[in-house]
Amino acid sequence: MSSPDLAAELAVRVAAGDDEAGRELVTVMRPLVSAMAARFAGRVPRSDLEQAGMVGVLHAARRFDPSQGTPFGGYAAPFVTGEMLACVRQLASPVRVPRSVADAERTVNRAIDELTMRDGRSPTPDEVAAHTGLGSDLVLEALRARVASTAVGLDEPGVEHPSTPDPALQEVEQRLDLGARLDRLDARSRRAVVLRFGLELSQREIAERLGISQMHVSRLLRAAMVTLADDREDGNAATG
Amino acid sequence: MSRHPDSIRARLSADAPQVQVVSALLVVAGAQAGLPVDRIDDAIMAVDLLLGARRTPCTVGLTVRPGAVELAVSDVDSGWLEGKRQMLEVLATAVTADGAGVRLRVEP
Repeated sequence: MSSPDLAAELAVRVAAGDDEAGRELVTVMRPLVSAMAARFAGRVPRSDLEQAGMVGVLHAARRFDPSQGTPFGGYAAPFVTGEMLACVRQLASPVRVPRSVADAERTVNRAIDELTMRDGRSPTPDEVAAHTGLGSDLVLEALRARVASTAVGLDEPGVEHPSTPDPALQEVEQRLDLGARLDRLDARSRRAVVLRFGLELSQREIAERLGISQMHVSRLLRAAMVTLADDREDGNAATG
Repeated sequence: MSRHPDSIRARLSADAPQVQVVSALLVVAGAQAGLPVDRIDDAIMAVDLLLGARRTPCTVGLTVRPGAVELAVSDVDSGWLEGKRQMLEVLATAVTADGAGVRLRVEP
């Protein structure tokens, strides 16, 4: 069996709750994850990046649908990148959080995606606490750390964004009337903004459309808000 | 800064990390109100939009109600607010001009 076929088969087994398949999948995907970690070289330890990337692989496996015909490697890549970016933000961010909170933040982020997928809606912090077994105070600390880390601007080295214009989205984009400000966003952030504010899709729905995690959508949108809020060229928000 | 059981009001100087301060408060307020995480995110994005590029002081009020959080921000230009209203109305359940400021209500 070729490596792509094997990865897809293992991913299906992971989604069915097969822990052994998860261990095999991590081994099969190691070359891809290692190559992707190289893009962030020098910013944080490589071992931390690879570990984060493996979390992304397993996360992707739980959402993988082989009937869509997408190779698992291609499907998993945005999840791997998202986890690596989170790792970079945590370890290279000017906002330092204790290791215990950083670990809780990862657990909380995973729980948010799992609960959203399971229930079809975003969980409350209390539900996250119940799901993870973390105390409510630690969940709140993790959520605050998550907010602080997503406030750091997006910088995604080597990430390829879809650039094919979508006529339907272009029409919505024009209706949004954000003018030149949208041009300051990369293609994927722009799509996320248009889907959120033009079509009023939820973060979960946007995540499904873009093939990334809800956490990643949240990061894209927050970074976009900071860009779109910057009206220094066309007037300031404050009256002073 | 004054504090009551369900509300908090703070004057933030121009050089204060306004977004970071208000966002941290919103996480707690949203959890107390029982909002889902994506709506807390929405409220924080509204704060990004309102305060992200701000270079002037403002007063911010936060009120926790059962199932809702209300956020009031002072000194918001009415013309700017109209330009951002469409986006704010996606992020918040209700957007109301409030004198020289704006009041947002965020529900699940």
